[in-house]
Amino acid sequence: MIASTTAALAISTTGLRKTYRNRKGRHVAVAGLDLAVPLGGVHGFLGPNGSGKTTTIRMLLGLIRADAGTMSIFDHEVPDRLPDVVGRVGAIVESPKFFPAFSGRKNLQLLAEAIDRPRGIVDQVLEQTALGERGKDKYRTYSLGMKQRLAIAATLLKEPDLLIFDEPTNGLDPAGIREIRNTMRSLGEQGKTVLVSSHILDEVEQVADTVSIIGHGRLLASGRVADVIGDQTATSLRVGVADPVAAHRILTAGGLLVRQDGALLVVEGFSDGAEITRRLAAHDLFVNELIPVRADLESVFLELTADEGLETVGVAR
Amino acid sequence: MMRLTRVELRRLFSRRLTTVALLGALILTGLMLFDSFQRAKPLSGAELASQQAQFDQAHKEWEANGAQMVQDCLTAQAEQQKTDPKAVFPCDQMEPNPATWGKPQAKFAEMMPSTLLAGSALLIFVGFLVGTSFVAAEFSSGSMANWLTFEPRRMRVYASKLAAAGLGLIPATVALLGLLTAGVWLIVHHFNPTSVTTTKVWGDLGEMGARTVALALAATLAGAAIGVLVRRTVAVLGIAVGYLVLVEGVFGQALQGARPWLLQLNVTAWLQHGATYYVDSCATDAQGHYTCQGVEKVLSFGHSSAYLGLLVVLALGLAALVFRRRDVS
Repeated sequence: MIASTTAALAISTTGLRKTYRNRKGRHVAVAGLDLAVPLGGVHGFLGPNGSGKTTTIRMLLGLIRADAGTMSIFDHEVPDRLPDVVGRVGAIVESPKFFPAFSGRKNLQLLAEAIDRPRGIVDQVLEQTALGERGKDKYRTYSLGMKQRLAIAATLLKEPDLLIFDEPTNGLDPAGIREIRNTMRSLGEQGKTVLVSSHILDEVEQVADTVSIIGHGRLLASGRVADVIGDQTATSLRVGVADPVAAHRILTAGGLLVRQDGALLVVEGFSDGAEITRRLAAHDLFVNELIPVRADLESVFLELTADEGLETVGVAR
Repeated sequence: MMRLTRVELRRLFSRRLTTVALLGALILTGLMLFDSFQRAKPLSGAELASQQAQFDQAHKEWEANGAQMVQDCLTAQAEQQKTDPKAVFPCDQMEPNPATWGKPQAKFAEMMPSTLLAGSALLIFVGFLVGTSFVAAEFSSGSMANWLTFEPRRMRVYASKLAAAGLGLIPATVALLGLLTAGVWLIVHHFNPTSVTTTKVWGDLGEMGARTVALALAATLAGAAIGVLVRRTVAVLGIAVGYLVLVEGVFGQALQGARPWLLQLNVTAWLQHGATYYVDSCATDAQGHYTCQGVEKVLSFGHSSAYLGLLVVLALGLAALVFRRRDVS
């Protein structure tokens, strides 16, 4: 494989493909994915379940083999040069996996010893992830949130520059979700690169600076979260007025696309609130509520995948 | 590589199954020593009196019916010789003899080989179980994927696991064999202080012990390799039991020509520096009788060495190939 030479990228893939074969036939999990994750900050890797996110992450980490395409991490071609760069990469793939009969501390000690880290770092990362008290307990007794925190502790053993979190909040309670999201944000603010894969739009919107949206194993859109939203969906306005029927007639006559939503009007594809106010005031109708409606990633995703026949992604609020 | 092996050794001895298996082996070694004690122990006064009474009774019967018993024996021998001219019955040894009646005095050279063979089987099984579980548990718990995100060079990971399993089990195997040998020697000398163990006996036992250690090591490595291939300890044990029942039991009985390729016989031949086995040779004689007789065959040490060596190398090679290429989830 030929490595990308784009030094400003933490992760880059070109034409990445992976097909699974089983008794039922072939399933293309990743179909020529071109991914570019910039250095520093949090990058959302968004797509519905089965869109190829985990498969892509597994290929990047050398756990499964790509059928075609190139991949690089910090400008190191992977998987061939993965050993040179793996020390800078901390990853949690799907649910955390440790030896269930060993304590959290023992699990971390083995990993720390394997990468020649001093023993003291184990207590340090346990404290960092608020597991100091439970470090001596067997991993199998941990709650899902604690398991997730132990996995984060394991990634921190390396003091990595790149952290890869695959669906990190799956199964967590609201407090756990908030904790993990804060951790990701905090790591991103420290200058580390965090790649967080998720099928939850709200999560990516809350924590990510940039985003790549994939569906059916292909890249659909990529860029800053705000730009991706702005590029893909026109902003709307919700308008409150005393006589919505008259207002609807006036605005429609002015060439705007208007629909009624309860007591409010929604002006689609138009974001100039002052112009709306002026037109209605000219007919003695005065606006009592004017709300700009920002497009969210859900609508972006629906728009991007309108022709793809993909399932809708989940929304957690 | 050394660092990884050290970590794997720590993991090996932190595992409960390793502790339980070694503790179990220690307990079974103790039971073998207890059995040796029972076998070496001379008869008590009451047992001797009972034995004397039995001998007297047998001798009385011999005096009354001995001639008829010999005659019956010779008749049976003549009948057998019609189909097997070489058949010889021990008709001249039927008279009860006080020298051969009762429990002989324990001799280390006679007791130790069979005890060592039983101990070897135990240690080989322990090695296989520990080796299999050591690797398969990583796959079944999913921690192998986590491990590979810390050390992605799979051949190093594979080699370190094999090295740790092998290196970890060798001292335990040597220690248990030493305990068994020393225990039997002490027991025999306690009851029979005048018995002498020749240098040749010690040499033979030493060689057998070395072969046991080598085979336990091979079983550990093969177990680890099969653990990589099957990825579930329970599944590996199921396959092993299935093999023993179906292949060694059913198939081995039905297809006697395949016996030189059965594991159990090869293991015995390796441990004992050659083994004998019997196959039925059947034919219809001139009188039209279809008869079968057991024919003794020898399975050489060379055959077992080559065959077992090949199996272990194949298992290790195949597991390496699979581990190098297989997707880890």
